[in-house]
Amino acid sequence: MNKTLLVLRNELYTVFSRRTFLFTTFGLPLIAFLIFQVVARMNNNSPQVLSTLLSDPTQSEKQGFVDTGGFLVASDETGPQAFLVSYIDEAAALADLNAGEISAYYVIPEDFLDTGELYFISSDFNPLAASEASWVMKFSVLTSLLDGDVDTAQRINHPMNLEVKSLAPPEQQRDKSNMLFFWIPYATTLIFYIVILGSASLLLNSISNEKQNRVVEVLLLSVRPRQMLTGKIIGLGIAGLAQTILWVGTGYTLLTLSGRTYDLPENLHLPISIVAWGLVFFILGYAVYASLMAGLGALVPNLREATQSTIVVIFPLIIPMFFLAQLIEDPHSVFSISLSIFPFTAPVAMMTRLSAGGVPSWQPVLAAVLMSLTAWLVINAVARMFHAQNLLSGQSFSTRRFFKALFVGN
Amino acid sequence: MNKLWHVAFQEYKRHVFLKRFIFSLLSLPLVIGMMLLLIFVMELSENDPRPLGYVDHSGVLAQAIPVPATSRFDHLVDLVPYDDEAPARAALDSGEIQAYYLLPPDYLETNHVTLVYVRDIGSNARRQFVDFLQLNLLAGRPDNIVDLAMEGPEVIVRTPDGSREFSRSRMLSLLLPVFASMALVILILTSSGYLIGAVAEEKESRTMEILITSISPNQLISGKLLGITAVVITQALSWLFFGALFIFIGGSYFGYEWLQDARMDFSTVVVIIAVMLPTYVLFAALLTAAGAAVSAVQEGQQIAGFFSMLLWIPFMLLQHVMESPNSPLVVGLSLLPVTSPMIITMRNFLTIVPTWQVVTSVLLSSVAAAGAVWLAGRSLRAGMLRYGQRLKLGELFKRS
Repeated sequence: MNKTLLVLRNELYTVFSRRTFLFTTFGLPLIAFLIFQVVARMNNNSPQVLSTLLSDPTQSEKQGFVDTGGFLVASDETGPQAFLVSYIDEAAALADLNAGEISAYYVIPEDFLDTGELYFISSDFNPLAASEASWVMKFSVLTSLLDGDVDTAQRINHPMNLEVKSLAPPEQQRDKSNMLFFWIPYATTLIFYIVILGSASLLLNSISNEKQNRVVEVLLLSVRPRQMLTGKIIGLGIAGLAQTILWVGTGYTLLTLSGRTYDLPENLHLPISIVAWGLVFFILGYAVYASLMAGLGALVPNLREATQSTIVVIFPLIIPMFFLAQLIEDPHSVFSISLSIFPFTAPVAMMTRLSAGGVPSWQPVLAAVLMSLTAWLVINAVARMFHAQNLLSGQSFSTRRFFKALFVGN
Repeated sequence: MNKLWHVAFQEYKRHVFLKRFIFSLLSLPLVIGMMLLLIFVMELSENDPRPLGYVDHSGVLAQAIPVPATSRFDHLVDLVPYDDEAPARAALDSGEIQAYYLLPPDYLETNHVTLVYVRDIGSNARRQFVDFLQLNLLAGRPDNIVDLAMEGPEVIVRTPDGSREFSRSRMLSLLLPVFASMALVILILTSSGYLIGAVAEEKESRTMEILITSISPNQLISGKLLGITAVVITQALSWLFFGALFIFIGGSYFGYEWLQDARMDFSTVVVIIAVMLPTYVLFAALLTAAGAAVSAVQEGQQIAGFFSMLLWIPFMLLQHVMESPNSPLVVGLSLLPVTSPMIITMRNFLTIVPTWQVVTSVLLSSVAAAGAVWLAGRSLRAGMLRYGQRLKLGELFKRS
């Protein structure tokens, strides 16, 4: 036990005394805060400077049109004449475009009813802006297709003022119009992902470095492999958790000092149970992935190969990222529930669902139990791998050898 | 000269004839294939195949016209009419239908519609009901008018001289240069490991001392750069092949319209090559210089990480570029050697990039690339036999 604690203390000291760690933990939030403050002050003191730097040169907002086939139906309320400038031919429109009187013009060809195509002529050629700017012409075309029937045209454009009635239990109902109900689970997922992978990577780096510079040969004279593994896992887990707490604390302190607060809606809150579950799933997720990374580190001859081979280990953790929107928007589907209970995807998927809200209490309990079992199996399997034969070997990494050592042992 | 080619061939062979390289060749198409498969699975899991009910008290849907399927991948559901809300509610409670819409008697005055569900309906069902309602509101009109009213006109964006044109069917042709710039970033990132290791590995294994007795430093570094560039070109060509295959299969077999007209103007190809080549040389030379200045590959990788961050700046500003492609900030970034290829290719999609900006960007990048190559040479000469110590920045510029 003493030697495990010795390894643990050494890892903590090594990590906390590293300049890059201190920079990442304190420096990055400080830099982000300073940039934020500078931009905010610039915006307050000289709004026109920032706006000039970031905006396109101004141009006329008027547009024109040339209706070669006489298709458009004139109307005082909705006809394009109210919002657009009419031209007899394209030459006149082009002359005004070149003079800057108009920013663009439309050409409705004679065969429009057959082809459905009309032209938007602009010297700027911005397809995205054209799409946004052409709503008036599109509505005028729709009204003309319906022989000037504005009411039907409005109804086709916007068929429903929809009222939604959900018959789901109240705890499963979510206000989808509030974007915070998407961004808070999204942020929670990202933080979890970064913390687990960051901490597990520290472990991989530590073991690979000691293998590469042969320090492990000296260490194994005094410490048993299992003691080394346990000390490193616990020590670096504490370092990763401390970094997260310091990030959140530093960011919160800086924002409070600057006098900025964020008003969250009353019905939006993060219960304390989420923090508690967060701790549980972080510990379990870290135990699984850190052990797998340690096993990887034990088998690779150097850090470069270790980094290249990490995808083999972390791939299950990446899967929930692809389905993030689904986990947030539809947290009670069979697919979402399966992802949040399967041990290798549970840490991230379950935290996402818990942040989205309405998860029955038996599900995180089941996920935690399955994860605990998985963590115990993985740690034992990696501990079998963590012995002198592998730690002193210079063999290149192979996926088959890794999984064989994990499941079969030596 | 023979030695240079010998070094280049050895470097090429060392990286290409490995299982890991074959995996990296297949990695991008595999990742894209997997993401498409995941999107397909997500869509399938999001879409509920159960019928959708409706209760129409307004009479709009009395002689209901069904929505026709437009492609084999439409996920249409059955639309079941109910006379009253009670049977609809009973069907919903028993799970026979996924939800029902309720149109009140005054729908034509208020547009008010109620959607009742236990679990939110899939986007396919929502889209289908909107189309269904629109189709029946247009009942009795000619087919071409109905199609045009529902789909809206196709707005073709064109420059006044007609030299450039954009429509929905040609989306891919405009996006191809953007994909090319992303591919450049990925190629630089994947080759950074090779470039950093080009010299650092020889130093780490002490073979540098043997090599320089037979070959000059310039031949060594030139051969290695040539070999690594050949590796990068091999990777680029393989991705081009897979990209073309994807476009062909998607356009011809699956019938996606936006994949059917993929072509790039010759002038666009020339601009892409002209802006990307000096940037690649710039990064290759800087990474090689960094590799020669350190004593271990791992140290070099930390420096490579810093350069990687520079490459991602344009993509972090993507939204701003899209909103204001001609703002002074974006124009400035178009001229900066590190960011110019990515920004110019993005802007090319959104606006007409003036020729003077392209020419200035190419000139600045070329000067920067020449400077970086010079720096790489100095770094190699100063650092090739230095062990255990990094080269300081000042030492690179000191007269020897």
